[in-house]
Amino acid sequence: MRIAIHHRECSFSDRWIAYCIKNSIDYKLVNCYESNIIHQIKDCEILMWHHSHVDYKDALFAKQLLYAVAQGGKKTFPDYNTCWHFDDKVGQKYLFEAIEAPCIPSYIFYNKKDAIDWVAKTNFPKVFKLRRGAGSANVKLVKTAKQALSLINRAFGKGFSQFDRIGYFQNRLNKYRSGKDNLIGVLKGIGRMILNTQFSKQFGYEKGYIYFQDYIPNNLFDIRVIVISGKAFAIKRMVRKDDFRASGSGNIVYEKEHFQVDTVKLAFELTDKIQSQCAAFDFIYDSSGKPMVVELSYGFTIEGYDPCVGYWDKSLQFHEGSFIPQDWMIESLL
Amino acid sequence: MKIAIHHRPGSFSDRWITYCAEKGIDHKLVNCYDSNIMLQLKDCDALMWHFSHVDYKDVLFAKQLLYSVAQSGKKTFPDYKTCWHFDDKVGQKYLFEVIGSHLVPSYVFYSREDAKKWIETTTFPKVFKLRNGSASQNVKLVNSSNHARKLVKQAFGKGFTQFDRVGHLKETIRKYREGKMPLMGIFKAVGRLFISTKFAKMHSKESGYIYFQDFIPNNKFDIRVIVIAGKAFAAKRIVRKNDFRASGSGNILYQKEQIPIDSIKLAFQLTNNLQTQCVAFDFLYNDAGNPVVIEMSYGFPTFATDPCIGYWDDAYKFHGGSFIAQNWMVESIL
Repeated sequence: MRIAIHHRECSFSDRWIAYCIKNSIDYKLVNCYESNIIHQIKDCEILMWHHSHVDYKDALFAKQLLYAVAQGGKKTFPDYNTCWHFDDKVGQKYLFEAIEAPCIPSYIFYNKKDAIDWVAKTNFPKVFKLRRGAGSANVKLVKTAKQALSLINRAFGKGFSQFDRIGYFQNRLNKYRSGKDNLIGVLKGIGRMILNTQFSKQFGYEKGYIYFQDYIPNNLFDIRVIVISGKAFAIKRMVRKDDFRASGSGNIVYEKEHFQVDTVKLAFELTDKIQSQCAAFDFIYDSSGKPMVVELSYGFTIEGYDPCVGYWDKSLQFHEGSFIPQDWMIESLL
Repeated sequence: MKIAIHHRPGSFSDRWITYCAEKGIDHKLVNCYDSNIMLQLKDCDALMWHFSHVDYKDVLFAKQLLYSVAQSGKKTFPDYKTCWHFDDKVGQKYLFEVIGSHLVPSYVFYSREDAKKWIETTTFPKVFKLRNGSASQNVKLVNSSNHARKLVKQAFGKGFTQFDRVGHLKETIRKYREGKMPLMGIFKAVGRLFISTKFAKMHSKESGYIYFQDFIPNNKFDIRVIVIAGKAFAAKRIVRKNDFRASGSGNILYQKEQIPIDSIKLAFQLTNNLQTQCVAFDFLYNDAGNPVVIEMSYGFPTFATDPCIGYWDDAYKFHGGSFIAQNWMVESIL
């Protein structure tokens, strides 16, 4: 069994390589961006690539490459069930509804008239999202019908940049104020007001659709549960000050008592239904205290989870101690 | 068994509906563009949607919707293996290489530097294609490295619009001259020089990659073979005058003796490998006289294949007589 690993520094591959070396697992490094990638992996049984949603190259073809490799009988990480909906909230809306997951009611429109008709009969606030973006990028609270109509005009007009320059700057500034970022970070935020990201330049504007979710009030945090190979671990992310968004806030707590076992159980159930190798679910709670899934992702930042104090197994028993989730990804494929 | 059909006049659904009505197959019409489509599908066991690559709405979400529906245990037409590579020549390059080629050698680059390096070492002519587009749209013969470098500059710079205005006008004039288009068509094409298509307006420019195929000389035609549910039918498409492109030329021959049997055999073999419900392969013949694939598609013009005078079964036996291919699609998911 030989594993082909596409290495990107600061991605899961750092730890995959370390694990292979430590456990004498046969592996080789490959470059998925090269035109002859299929030839490179000829002598391997597995391809692992932690592709990123913020690299425009990855967004162009990573999923397609992985689907093709799987169709040849090789295993991949991530596989189709794990990644087809990655960085795609529209796909996730359909998926959650299809598997009857408890999810936040969401609405999608592909023409202006349908969207305007809906605005006339719905209530506000609602949450507007672009289908792409992590860390609460491209997410806005829409308080009035007027604000919604203005977003609709834009969605079916010039569209939205993938990169929200002002939002990015505000986020950097808030992190600096709360001591989670340094002055360089703020300067970078100012720089990005002028220079667009490569991703945004290559991908142009998001348009032709508009997506809203119901706003669920009184959530001061969200719970993120990550399930890999029958094990789950979790973090609690506090919302930003004077804001409703938790993802990307950087205010994280890890102690076990912060997590309801029902939420962990639900994460296991959803993972089974989706048949995902690795899924990070973001949950918030409705007025009756029931968890509802907001979105999911196969990718997550590595360091954000290292302080986790343990994990749950499928029988919901908690195992205390540190662990390396990237190792589980490899073990699940061997 | 109840089938949900998304109806688009002029698409496969015209005949699906007729067939269901004739055979007393339980069906209902649904609207995939509605936000509550999952609710509409609740009482159905299958969803059939002939989604289009030239409708920007369909491109935004049709595959994601079908994947979700399948994940809930319902059948879909097209299914994942039939459509993930639809209108995506980059995905098809990887897939054909994985299943043992038969594809015209193809090259894809995600950086300007890699593309330029390759240009220094390769020979010309090559064929440039965007990953999407049908009927030879977005396809150019590149005779020199200078021309290739210009295309690379555009691919990693301002990008390519999905709609080639000048190419469209030239093609319309050709069709007019050959008596395949009324004069009004030319006026419309001139109008299109100034007003782009809805699709091109709603979709970002294609950029961040460049794709070339080897040029296979001396092909005066291509062979299109369509395989559905163990049956294959075919047409020979003659290239345009003073051109190298056959797809979309409108010059089509249907007689059995025009179709080389090795293309039928290869089409069945590839369909088995790909496990698709419905696939149209475009074949050329290489120097050695063997068929090679240029690209494939699950969709085809509903009426274009009506003049076919029979079909081959998977034992390569020919069955003369007319048939309705769309009926086979319905039968295959019952």
